[in-house]
Amino acid sequence: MARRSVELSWPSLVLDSEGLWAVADNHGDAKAAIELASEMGSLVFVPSVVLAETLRGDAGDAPANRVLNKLQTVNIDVTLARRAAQLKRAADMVGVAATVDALVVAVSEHLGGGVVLTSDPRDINALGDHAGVRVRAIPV
Amino acid sequence: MGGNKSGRVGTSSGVRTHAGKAAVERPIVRSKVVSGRASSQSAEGLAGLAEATRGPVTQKRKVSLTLDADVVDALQTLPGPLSTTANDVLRVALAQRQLGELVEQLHEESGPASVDARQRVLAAWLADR
Repeated sequence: MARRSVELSWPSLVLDSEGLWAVADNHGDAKAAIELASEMGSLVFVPSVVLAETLRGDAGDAPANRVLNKLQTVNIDVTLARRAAQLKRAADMVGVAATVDALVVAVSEHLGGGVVLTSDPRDINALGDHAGVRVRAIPV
Repeated sequence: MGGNKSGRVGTSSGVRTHAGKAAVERPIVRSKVVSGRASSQSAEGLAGLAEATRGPVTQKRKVSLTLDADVVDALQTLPGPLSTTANDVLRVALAQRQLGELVEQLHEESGPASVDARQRVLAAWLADR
């Protein structure tokens, strides 16, 4: 089977909770992903649901907030929520964690696809397989 | 910046120096500068990115700007009102500038990412499934 041509640059970089903290902690692969996104002229997005999942609302959020101030937050609307539900069902996944993962992948798809910085590459890739565009997990 | 005429990203190996660190051989991904992306970015893609970065903004402010004629010409080749197009271009450019500031912050703390890390990340994006 002929291998499909893939653009070297990704359309977007989306962070899940662990992805956000990996950037805040200056994790090596997370930093590489941020560097590459900047060099590509791509943008980095954090779904608003990730903020609810990972922030605590106190001083402990400071490292994450320092990063969030430089990134783009995407609000989850009804369209994205419904798309996440479809992806979750298509991937035969259930549960709250899967719901957040599905929302993250729905956001990536909405942005034209790209990479997701995550500690759960298996589930993100499983959901991404059902997206209409190329979505790939970058493990951290 | 070293992007090609199509605005697509290419790769090359190169040497970069970082303050206080030895030169490191690293794969470099380059793209056209932001001002060059306005003409290569599809109008739909530009509007989509701008929309994603917009948030709950409802107010507009009328201002008078003096722009280079060729910039205005390029903006006017894109569909939609000039103000909307210029706003979208500026919004994406500002977001890219913020991202650049984050990269600088990360580099100040611990230098640039390793070649291995960059290659792992690119490999994950290009991986077949």
